[in-house]
Amino acid sequence: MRYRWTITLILFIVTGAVLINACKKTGAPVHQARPVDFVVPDGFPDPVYRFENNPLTEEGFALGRKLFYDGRLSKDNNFPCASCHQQFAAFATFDHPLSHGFNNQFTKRNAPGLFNMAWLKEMHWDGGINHIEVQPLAPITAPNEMAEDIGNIIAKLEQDGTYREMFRQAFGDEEITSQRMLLALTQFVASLVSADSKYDRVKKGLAVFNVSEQEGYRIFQAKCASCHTEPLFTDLSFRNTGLELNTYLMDYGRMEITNNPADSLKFKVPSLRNVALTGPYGHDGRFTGLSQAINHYAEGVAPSATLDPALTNGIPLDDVETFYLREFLFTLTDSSFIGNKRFAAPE
Amino acid sequence: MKGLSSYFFYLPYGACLAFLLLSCNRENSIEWERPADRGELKIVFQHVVKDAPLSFGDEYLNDWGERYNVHSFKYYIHDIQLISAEGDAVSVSSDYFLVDEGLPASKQLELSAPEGLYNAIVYTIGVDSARNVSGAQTGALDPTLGMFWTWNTGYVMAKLEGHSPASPGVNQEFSYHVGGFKWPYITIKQVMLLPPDTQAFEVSKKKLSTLNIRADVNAWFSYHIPIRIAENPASHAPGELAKKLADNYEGMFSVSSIKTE
Repeated sequence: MRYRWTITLILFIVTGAVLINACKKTGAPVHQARPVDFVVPDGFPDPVYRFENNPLTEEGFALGRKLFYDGRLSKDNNFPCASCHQQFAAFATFDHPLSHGFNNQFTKRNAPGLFNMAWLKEMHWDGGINHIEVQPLAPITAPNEMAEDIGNIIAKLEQDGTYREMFRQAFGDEEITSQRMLLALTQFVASLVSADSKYDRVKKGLAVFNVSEQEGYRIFQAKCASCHTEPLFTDLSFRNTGLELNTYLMDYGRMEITNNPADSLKFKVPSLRNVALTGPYGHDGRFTGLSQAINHYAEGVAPSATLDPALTNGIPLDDVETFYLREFLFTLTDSSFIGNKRFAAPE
Repeated sequence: MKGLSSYFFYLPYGACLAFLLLSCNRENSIEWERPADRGELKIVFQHVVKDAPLSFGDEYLNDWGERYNVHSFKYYIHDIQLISAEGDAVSVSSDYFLVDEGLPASKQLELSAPEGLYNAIVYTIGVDSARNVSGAQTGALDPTLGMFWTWNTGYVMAKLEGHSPASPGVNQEFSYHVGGFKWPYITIKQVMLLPPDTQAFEVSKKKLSTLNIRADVNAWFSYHIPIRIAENPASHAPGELAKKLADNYEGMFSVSSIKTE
């Protein structure tokens, strides 16, 4: 009698397991990507980009990181995103007014640092890009930058088994599309958060400004913060700061996007975070050093029809104030960001 | 007696087996909601210049006496609806289609619509503003299809390129890449087309209904606003000229015939 019970029980369990398995839809890929939390630093506003249709995962980030550092995204395989966006320069181009692109050409504008990108409503000095996911298409296809065709890139990546496997891990199967490439790049770039400078530690009560920095902060708040608004150190607006038209580049900034003469010579207010690392300064890199850039507001503002009203008389700053201001701006350098191995070129 | 009791013994097993089979069945095959019957609806775009079929490289004449040929002609279509005899809009497809003279298969849309009698077809030319500001897209909206501006985010809604001796442009080319989704330079156009005899047409599950729709390139130069190649050889950004071209291409479509078989 006992053996009968045992047989029945085994029969029951086996059949049940078989049936439950049969019930499952066959062929559905098992999506193993591990989710990553996007952490908004204390005091920061809500980000613009929320990874809503692009869930942040370890695998998506790793793929984006590999793509960011891969020269195959350019026509001659020499210009990865990272050629103009160097981590040690807070992802700007170190010491270059304009960056170098395909076939010995220069870019039209100074490469901005890449950090806190998830808070930007528009990318580029002229705000021409309305969504972070589609930004990479601009430098990739620009003939004087990476000069490549997206279809060619996909063909190059498809030949690489490592990429096929990484796309599978990130998106569930090996298919490589422009959309998946852009989503992965966005996972990497939007994860570049910089919020651990001395300034941030002072704000958290973990450090104190020295006397010079404190005085610089006071001057900053009185004279600069209306445009370079904390905590992003930009109000994300477009303004004409009295830089005369560069007659070689003939760059009218925001007007080239809006066709509106009222936007002539307006450019995006850049963040001042990591500013000590991102020189030269200005949309065309015309100011070599920080002192020159500050001095422009004291002495160099050129009048024009679209000049920002706040700059009609420039910003009076004497040499002593400029010194203190610089001391404060140095506290915006985020050493842990530029040293973060997670953001460095993959091994 | 002994035999019967041994059957009872397996009763719980049998019951569980039946339950599992049933629950499996319910999940997979019982339809909770029965969709309305649909009939096949085929939309065929016929590209023409006035009364002549469009053929790449052939020479045509616009209303301003300018000779030209065409080597690229494509446009986005989406949000296809039918207007029922009662005047209700019935959605046929919310997908995007890139109709391309260079890809004959793209000129035939094989769709289905709820059965009924319809008075008109409505669709939108271009890519709606939401899709212009929502980041990376795929399918018909994949930026690799060459209908996307990378430096000033937005889709090219429609494209017409060719050569004309009237063009002052490089190699006598003219090229109209028309886009713009922001006021006042909006180039997204919804069109409503009536059958040629304004008679209602039928969609039925027993038949295939084919709408033949003509798209007349000539309209780009003169439907609403005169556009001369000599004065306007190129449109490559949102703006006044793009808006005028859109006001013109809005009028390029007409239903040439409807077949039900």
